[in-house]
Amino acid sequence: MREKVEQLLGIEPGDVSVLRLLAFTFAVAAAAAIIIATVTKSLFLSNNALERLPWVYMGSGVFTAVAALVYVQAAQRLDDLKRSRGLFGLAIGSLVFLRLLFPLHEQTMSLIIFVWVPSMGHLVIVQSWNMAATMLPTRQVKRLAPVLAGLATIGAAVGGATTRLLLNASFIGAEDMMLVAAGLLAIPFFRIGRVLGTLKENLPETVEEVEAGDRSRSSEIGRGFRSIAKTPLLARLAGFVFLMQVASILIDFQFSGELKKHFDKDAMAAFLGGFYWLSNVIVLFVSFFATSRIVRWLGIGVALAGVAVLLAVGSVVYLLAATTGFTSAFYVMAAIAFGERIGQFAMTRTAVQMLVTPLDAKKAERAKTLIDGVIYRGATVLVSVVLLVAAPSFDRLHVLSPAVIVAGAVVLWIGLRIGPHYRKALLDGLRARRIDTAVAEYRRLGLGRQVVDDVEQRINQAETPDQLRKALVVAMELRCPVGASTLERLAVHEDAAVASRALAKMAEQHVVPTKALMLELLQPERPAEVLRAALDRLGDQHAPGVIEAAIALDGHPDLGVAAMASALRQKVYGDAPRNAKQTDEMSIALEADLMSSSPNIRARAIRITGSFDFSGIRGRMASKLAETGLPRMLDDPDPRVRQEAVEAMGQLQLEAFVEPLVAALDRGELRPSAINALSRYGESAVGPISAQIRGGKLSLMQRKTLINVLERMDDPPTTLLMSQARSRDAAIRDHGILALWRLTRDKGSKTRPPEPWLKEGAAREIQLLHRYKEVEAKLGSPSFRAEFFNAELIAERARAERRAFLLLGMIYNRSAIYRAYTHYRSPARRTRSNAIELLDQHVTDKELRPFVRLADTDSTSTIPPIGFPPPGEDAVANLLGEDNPWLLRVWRWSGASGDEPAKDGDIDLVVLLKSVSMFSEMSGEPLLPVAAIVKPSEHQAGEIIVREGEHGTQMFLVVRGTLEVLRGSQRVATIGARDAFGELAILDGAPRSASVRTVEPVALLTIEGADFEEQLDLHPDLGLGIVRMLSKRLRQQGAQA
Amino acid sequence: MTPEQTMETVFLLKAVTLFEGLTAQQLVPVADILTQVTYEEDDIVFEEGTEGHALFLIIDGEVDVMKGERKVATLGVGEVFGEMAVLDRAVRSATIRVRRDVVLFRIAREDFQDLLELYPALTKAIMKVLVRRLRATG
Repeated sequence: MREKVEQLLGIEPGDVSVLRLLAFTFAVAAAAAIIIATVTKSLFLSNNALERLPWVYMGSGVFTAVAALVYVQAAQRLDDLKRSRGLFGLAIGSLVFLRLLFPLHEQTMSLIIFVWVPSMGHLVIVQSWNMAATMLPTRQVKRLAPVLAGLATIGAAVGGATTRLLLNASFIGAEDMMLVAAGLLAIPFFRIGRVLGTLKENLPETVEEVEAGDRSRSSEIGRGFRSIAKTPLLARLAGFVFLMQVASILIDFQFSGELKKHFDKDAMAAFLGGFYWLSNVIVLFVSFFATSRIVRWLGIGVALAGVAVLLAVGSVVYLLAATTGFTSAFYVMAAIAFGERIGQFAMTRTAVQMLVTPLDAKKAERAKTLIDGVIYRGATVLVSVVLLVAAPSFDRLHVLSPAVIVAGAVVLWIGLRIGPHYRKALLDGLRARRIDTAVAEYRRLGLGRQVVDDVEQRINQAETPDQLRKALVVAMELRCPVGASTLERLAVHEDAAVASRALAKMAEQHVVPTKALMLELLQPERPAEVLRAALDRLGDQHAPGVIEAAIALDGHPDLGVAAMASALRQKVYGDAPRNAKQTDEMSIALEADLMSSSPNIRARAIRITGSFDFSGIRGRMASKLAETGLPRMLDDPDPRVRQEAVEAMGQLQLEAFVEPLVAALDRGELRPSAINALSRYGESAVGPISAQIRGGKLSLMQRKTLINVLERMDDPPTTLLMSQARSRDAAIRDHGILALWRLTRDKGSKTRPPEPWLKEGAAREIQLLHRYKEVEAKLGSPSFRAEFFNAELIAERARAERRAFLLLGMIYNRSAIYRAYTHYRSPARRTRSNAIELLDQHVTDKELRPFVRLADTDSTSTIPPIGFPPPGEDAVANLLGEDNPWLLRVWRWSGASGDEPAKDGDIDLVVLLKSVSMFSEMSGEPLLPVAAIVKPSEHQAGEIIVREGEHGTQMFLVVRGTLEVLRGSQRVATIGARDAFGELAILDGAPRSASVRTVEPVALLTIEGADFEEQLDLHPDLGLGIVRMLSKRLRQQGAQA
Repeated sequence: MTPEQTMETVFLLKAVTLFEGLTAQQLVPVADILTQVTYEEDDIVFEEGTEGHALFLIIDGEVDVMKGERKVATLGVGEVFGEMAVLDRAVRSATIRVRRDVVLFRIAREDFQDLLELYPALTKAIMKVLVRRLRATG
């Protein structure tokens, strides 16, 4: 039953407690306000002439405006509790006080009451709403606002009924009702502390540190109006409220006129009774059952503008009716007024409340009070003045209609355009996260002349070599052009780094060095770094003197310089081979060098091969040599030779090298240079690399790396990345989708995959999320292994979520979705709620909407069943399917299905790794690559594993046995199974702080620093996990110290 | 921020050890997300036990790291502080008091986490900073 009601009202189980807290306050405040309204009206009318009414309306309007201004001032000085208590207290006090003074002079008192009391009632209502709107998360307000409005309507109805009953029983006079209202308000007065306390507890708002220094001295009212003017959402809201009120009052005036024409006194009262009763009942139904749905389906803008449409259309009909007499103008006007009342109370007011929730709480409250108090009343006063001046006769009421039509049309226009501002407010609400936009902004601006000038100026004004170096590096990295004369001056700078960078920069700018400069540079005594850079620039230089100087460097002590000079010698003098014999000789000589026992000669031969020019007969010869020779060198025993081979391949860029280079990606030491080599290929490698990705049986790492290589190219093959983003393997999909995301960010929308494709992908991830949720629901008894599985499931779900977010970001507003993603797990409920609301605002396609509900984890409602295999003997395995080989493995290993737990050495290793504090905080899958680099070893008793003071980059994990930690010869600790040592050395390779010796035979697992470093490059998750662990450990250590 | 200001900041960031592995191209967006703040001698940048919303880079001047009344360390130009609370969302582990008037760059927590995701080199750099600290205190 309760669930049914909740479902009907569109609220979630979590809302009930909040509702319980607020419901009473709302209902009571509304009841009191209605009692106040009836009492003041009747007291006034019975004691004063009717002509006074418009004037007193104005007076009341002005007074309420002033009261609102005072309230805004107070709002900033007092905390929530004091302010609310103060307001309720003041209302109660003044009601009692005025009731006591009333008999003194009834006519004057009725005037005072009419002006003072409704403004109190108004503020009480405003405060109740503010409390809900500013202290609850956005999504919750969106759900609860209609319900609260409904409760207020019930309160109002009860208040009205109470008045009628009590007065009919004639125990008391109308003025005594003020005491009843005061009594009602006393209830929230005493409860408010608890309400605010509980609401605040639910809402740990974070406050920015910098805000402390940001206190302006200007008045709060000024700030309130300024923030209305500056915030587009608030400015439009203010305009909306103003025009809406103008239209409402005009309608009310017309309606009153029509009423007066149509009815005599008693009939009018009867008619109005029915009018209010029926409209309130409808308001109640609409706000309970329709409002939140309409807002959800049609958006907040349509909800706002709906009433305006009604008023404008109604007024057109009224105008026609009044001028043609075709139908009774009275009934038309009654219908308009009826609709207006329902629309205003059931829809407009609620929508307005929802609209301000994403704004900063203080700002929203301040602005809202000003809008309700001053702008709303301002409209009342303005229209009253116009009516007094214009004084339209009863017969010509319809002259006011064009004004209503115009106001309605403008309101409609505002309403339909308010959506983007609402979304922007949501974005701003998530605080300025500017990195995405900053990048875009920078790209948009490009490198202006100013930046170029600035960099050049820095180069010219640099005083130290260090400053020069830095400026040159920045110029290179930003590709800022630097003047040729400046570069030539710097090329002969005494600081080797400055000189070589200047030369590199010349190369980048295609500045050909002058002969004089080259001759000056190519002196053997110059630093090797400079010589190499100079030789590199020699390509286009054929001035004889320069070439001679360069060739003279063959035999230079620096291997690189010597190799380059020697290659040049060969290029110049070996240019002769015109016959096959000579070609063969050279080829044989080089091949012999490649097989030389000296690694230096081998490396040099590779360099020579690598610097060949492939034109002409010589080129063909070289290419043949290279094609067969270089790949072989990847297995050279000397690591430097292997590196040289990879680099030479990158230089030569032959198609035949793609395969060996891809193979080298699986070898840690070669991976970085292999990536570089492949990246240098440019477009020519897209084909071969794609073929490798599509066809080859590549490891995950190779795939990932190749995707990275493709991504870095100027014109990346989107279709290939798309095929990766569709892979069955979730890990590859992760990478493919991320690559597409980065690509569309960096290279603009032309690289964006087609929308249907993106939507299909997102829908698929969403379905996966549903499945994870189902699996979670099926998890049985908690055991160590089952818990491990659960942790893995959560991690997997987080990744699927990320994929869904990225895909959605490419479909809809990128930065909005990205912000929603980064905030939707925030511990602050309001932030989280704003993030999900943002998602809700942007994800418009019906098939993707379920994601919003999934993300909104407040929602515990059941997910609609989707066609999955029925739960059979291994339902979970079916649910997980083939997309999740890892999860499936853990599932089988966990034995949570009731089967015998499967054996899985990798998982056992991961579990063991997790016992090391460094990895303890991480989920299992990122540790798989670590498990893969672990090396087991056995040791005898008395063996020294690490020696104090020695440099070492290994980390050890004890599987079995005991070891002792020695400082000098003194034992400081013992280490046993599942303990680890040397953890920090793996990260920084600093000298060991103690020795470790085995006490008995032990089994160890070793992780090499270099292997580990490599994994860090490839798995950012691993790095982040370790950074978190380090910071935690640092903190614990600090706590002990 | 005008292009000149951005460039100025990029140059200053080049001196910060944490950003050693990042190119100027990569530092441009970083320059745009930070705010420059200055403090005078004896000012408190943040207090032990408070919530941390940002990390700080020292561009000029020196600060003392205080645990209670005890001074634990002094940090100077190019160094970073406040990163721990930003990384693990716990409270500040020490009070930072200005020793010599400082110019600081402030990076908000969320922005920093974005950076870590974008640039693995930064993760490695921060790892090194943390390991150095662990060794210094342990």
